[in-house]
Amino acid sequence: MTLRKFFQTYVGVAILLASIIYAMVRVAYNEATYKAPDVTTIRICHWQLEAGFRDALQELIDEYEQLHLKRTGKKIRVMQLPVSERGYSQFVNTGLIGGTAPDIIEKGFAKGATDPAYTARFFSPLGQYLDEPNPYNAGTPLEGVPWKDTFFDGLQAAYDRQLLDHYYVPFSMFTVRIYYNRDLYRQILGTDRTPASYQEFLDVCQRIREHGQSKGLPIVPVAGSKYQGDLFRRRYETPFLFELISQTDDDFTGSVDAMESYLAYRQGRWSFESPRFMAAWKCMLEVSKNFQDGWLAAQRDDAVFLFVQSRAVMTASGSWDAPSIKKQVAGQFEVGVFDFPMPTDHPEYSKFVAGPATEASIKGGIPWAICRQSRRQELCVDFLRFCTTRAKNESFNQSITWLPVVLGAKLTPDLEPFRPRIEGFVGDFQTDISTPVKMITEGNRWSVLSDRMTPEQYAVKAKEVYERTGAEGFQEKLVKDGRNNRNLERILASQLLLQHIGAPDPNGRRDEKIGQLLLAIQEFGHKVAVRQAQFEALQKETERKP
Amino acid sequence: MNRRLKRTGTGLLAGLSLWLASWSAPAGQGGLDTAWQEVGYLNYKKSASLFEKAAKQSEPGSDAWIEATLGLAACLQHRQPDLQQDKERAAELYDRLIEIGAGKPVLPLALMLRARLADQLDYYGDQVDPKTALVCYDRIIAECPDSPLIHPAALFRAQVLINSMDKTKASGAIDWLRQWQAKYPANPLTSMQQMLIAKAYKYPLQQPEKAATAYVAAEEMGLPQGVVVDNYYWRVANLAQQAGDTKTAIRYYERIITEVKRTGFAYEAQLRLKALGVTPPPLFNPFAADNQEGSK
Amino acid sequence: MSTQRITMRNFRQNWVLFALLLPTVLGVATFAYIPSFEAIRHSFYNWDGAFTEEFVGLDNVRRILGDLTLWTPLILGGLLSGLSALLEKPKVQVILRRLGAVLLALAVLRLALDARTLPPGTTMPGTLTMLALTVLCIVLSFKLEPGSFKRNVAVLGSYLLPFLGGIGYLVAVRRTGDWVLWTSFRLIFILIVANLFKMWPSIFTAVCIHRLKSDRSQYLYRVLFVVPMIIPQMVGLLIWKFFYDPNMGVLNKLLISSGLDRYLIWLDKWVLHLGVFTDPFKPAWLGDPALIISSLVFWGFPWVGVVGVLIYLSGLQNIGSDVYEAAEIDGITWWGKFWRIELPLIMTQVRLNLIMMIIGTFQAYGFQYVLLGAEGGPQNKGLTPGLYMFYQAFQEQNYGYACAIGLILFFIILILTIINQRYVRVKK
Repeated sequence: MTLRKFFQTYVGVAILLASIIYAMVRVAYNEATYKAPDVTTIRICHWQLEAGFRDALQELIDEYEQLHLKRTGKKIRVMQLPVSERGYSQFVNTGLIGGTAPDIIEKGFAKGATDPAYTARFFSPLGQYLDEPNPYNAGTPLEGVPWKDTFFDGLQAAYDRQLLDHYYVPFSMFTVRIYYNRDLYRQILGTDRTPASYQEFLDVCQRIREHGQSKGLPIVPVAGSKYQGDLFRRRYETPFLFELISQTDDDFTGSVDAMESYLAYRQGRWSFESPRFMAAWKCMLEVSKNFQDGWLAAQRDDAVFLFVQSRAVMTASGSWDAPSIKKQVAGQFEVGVFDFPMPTDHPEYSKFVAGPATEASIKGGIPWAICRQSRRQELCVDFLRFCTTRAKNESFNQSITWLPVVLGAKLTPDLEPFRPRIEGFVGDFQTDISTPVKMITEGNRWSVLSDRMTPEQYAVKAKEVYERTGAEGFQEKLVKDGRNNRNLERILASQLLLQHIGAPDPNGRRDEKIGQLLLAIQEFGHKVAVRQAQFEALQKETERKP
Repeated sequence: MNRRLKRTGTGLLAGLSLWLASWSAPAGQGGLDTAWQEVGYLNYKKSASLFEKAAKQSEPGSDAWIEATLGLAACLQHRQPDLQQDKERAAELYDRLIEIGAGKPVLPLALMLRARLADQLDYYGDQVDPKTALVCYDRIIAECPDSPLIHPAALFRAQVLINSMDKTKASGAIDWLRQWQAKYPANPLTSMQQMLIAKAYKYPLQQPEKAATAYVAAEEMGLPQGVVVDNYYWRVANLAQQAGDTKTAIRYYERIITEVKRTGFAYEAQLRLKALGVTPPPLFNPFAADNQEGSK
Repeated sequence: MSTQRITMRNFRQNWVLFALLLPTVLGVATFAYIPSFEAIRHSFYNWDGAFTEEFVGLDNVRRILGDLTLWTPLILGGLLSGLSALLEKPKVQVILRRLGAVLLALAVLRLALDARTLPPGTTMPGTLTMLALTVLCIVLSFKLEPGSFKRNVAVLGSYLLPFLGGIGYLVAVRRTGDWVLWTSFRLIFILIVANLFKMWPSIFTAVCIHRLKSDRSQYLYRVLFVVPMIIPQMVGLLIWKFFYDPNMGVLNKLLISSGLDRYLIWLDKWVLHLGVFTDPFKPAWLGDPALIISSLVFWGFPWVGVVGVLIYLSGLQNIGSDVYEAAEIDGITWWGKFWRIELPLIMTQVRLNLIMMIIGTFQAYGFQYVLLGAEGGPQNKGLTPGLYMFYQAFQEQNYGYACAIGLILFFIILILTIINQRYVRVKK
């Protein structure tokens, strides 16, 4: 066999072998590095691929590693594993199920990291740690304060109301605002003053449009896409419904879920055709008319691009986009930020709108959870404690210009307009009683927002599908609620059994946990029973009617 | 036939049989301890087979058998997917444990789990069996007076009656719970039982004024861990306002603002107080630049 | 060299061959058959894809089809009538047809009982009349004298009326079943009709390539047609999405630069009254409910499918040169060559493409999902059964229900394929 022939025959095998050998060496090398006898490694995974985030986190990691070495004389290594959003779910799920998951995981996306049943199975409850003070706060005003109370909301929003414990610790928080091109705004309107009322906002939009038309410039008031459309919708639709929420919130939770609203609908307490809904949709339409033409087919990035290109004066997004937007427009124009003006003094809308939704109960973001399988539980907790002192949380968030979550941590001046607003109402009014309702209302809502359908036509559509599929959807939801309660029973049984056999209870909180489960089962059980009884009564009444 | 081909075939078959053999290899040792550990992880599926094995290996009626059977029954009751045959077998096993468990520590728990099994919808077409559940709860109370499970049993017993949404049964359950509280004033679930009374007054009895009073009384007994305080105060205030008890409503709206400072309800509570003609306390802003406070 | 049949009988001699076959069989079973059977099994379950998995019998099917007692007689009646047409024994034929008629009559009865409870505005009375008349026609076709005009009318009626009645019946059934799913079929039928027209450019292209004199050019064109197959489908979709973009898209720019926008604006203003083509000309092709279906139909212009062309080419290459030579002696025109030789001889390929097109259209969801979103765009105009199935599974976690939708789709596709096999005849 000639060399050439040999090469031709075996080149594939050679490549394959080389790849396998390379992979094996790589694995062996990694194993040797991470499992070095004198180094303890913890791995932390997240999907924040923004360059700023990784650097900021690495800064914290470096400091922590040095501090740990100084304090204990032991080497540790905290390894960052950034995974793209697209592959995050698979990465986390397979890791958790296969027992190879990182020690600290950013909770989200993956079912393994969001579903309560998985959470209980794969993540450590943090309640016991959060009730104790954070030792890194020694010598600061937060010394002696339970760890959870050092967060802006006492971690109330992070409390898992189904599993009755805390399962994550956040690093940042986010709010949504309107961004505007200060230079262009000043140039067109001759002032720096941002609109204080809804009507002023509409007037500003009108003037921008007129300016564009008179000068023949392709300038629109607001850069929009479905993404921005949804942000505006949430801001403008819900405030119209707060009064309705308080009227129909029979279990006084502050919100009306889809089942509660369905029962109220059947009892004739609200309707899609009511002036309240008409006004809400009309208001949303008024706002979306200021988007560029064809905004419905645009992507979130298209809208940002339009804004960056100075072809739109305003756009809406969350504080998470602040660094990237500022970076993109650097040297071109100055970006300003203001809150969504509410139609509280509008002649037509003010009778429905008393104020915006509150931001007092926003949830902390970048939620870190500790994997149950981790053999370095205490170290993981220690690392998270280190990162959530006021100084560290402040420096971390300042370097990526996000909002800190620890009390007293200072914001960068740029972020002042993003500071959460506590004045406002709580609640949500959900109508998604069934999948068809969800699909049809979602599909047609865009038509209302793009002026292809009147609010009245939308109401007729929504009513039709709501009445047609509501009862079946209600029953399905009832079954699902029952199933959630059933999951609580599984946890309760496990605790009772462990108590019975005298299994060790390292935190001494088993009785407390059993009590919490009994309470949750009571709440859920009663809620399901009440709703079932009310539904059956309504069904009977309908059958009795000719 | 080509020898090389044969050799390849033999190799493939050998590989396949090795692979199959690895599947049927015996499970690792660890027995009951591993099984209980898995129960702690809610991994009922895995622990069921371990309990089954342990039960088979032990003498029927022995302590080891009782432990393994209890574990197995619980796993069958709670492993997913929920299948009819699993639940029926679990019921059978519980019944056997109850039968031989008189005077043994397993009795109250076996009765409790049996009752929960009867009191729940587990699979498609399953029917709730409140009668069996009530019998089991009553037996726990009557036969195991020293067990810590009597208070949960009392709570569940009342819950069965109240959740039937029958007004007479609910009234009966309230009276029964009141007697229980009188008999065991220091019982750890007394406040929770009081909350259940409040719920029964709201539905099915539809007496908001009594519901509000019962919630207030439950709070005085000491709210159990896990109660979301702002929601609780909001509920009491609203119920009281609905029932015309302005004084209680005002008290609770004020408490929302002053005690649960970081709640989203605070602003609305302020507005409600204003509407009731009361000057509300100022709002606490956890996001304020100068806020250093780390309290409730 | 003599060939030897390999059967289980001579397993001992050939076991190595079987052993070598095993991995493939296992692979196909694991990755093709097991998932399919699992999907069928799960269509009878309430399954959330994770923990919940409870057997619910025909509940999912009932939710899709509506009241099953409405369907059963209709399906059985239809099946028996269909079967009677297929059989050659007249006696059996008559028995089956009569049985079918009885079942259809039962369906009518069932409907009559249900008509009282169905919501107002349904097409019940019309459907009932149709079906009652059908039964009458069937009875008359037996009673009347063969060959008479009245009997011919009765026979015609017995075929035509059930068809019309059936449509009305389906409308009624839709009201008790999954309304959204049945509505989504509308788009499928539109797309299938459109695809019937969109098949022709591929056929013409294949014929053009086939008729090229030079082998080298033929080869070149074939290669050129294979190259686009390397581009992932997703990239193609995204290119088209960009093509339709109202602000930066090529389509609007093209229409404006060619001056066609003026005509469209005029047409909309005076004829169509859709309000979609206005001045300035920026129609949102994928954002406007009135334009979505047209955009989906136009998608892929000039509709020359790579795979289609290659399949037709393979068919065309099988036509012997003697056929052409004989035809040329008869003085055939270029059109006649296509119409009388090429098209009839590639009917096998046409039928294959037709089946693949129908299956593809029914199963499609990725295309609509990427272009319009999970709910099928504004007013759900782009919603297909496949997309609805996807929505139920991945947005709502109703995997069991999604499997049941898949099962129904499977049967519909199967029926259409059988019809296609039976009625699109290939004459060689």
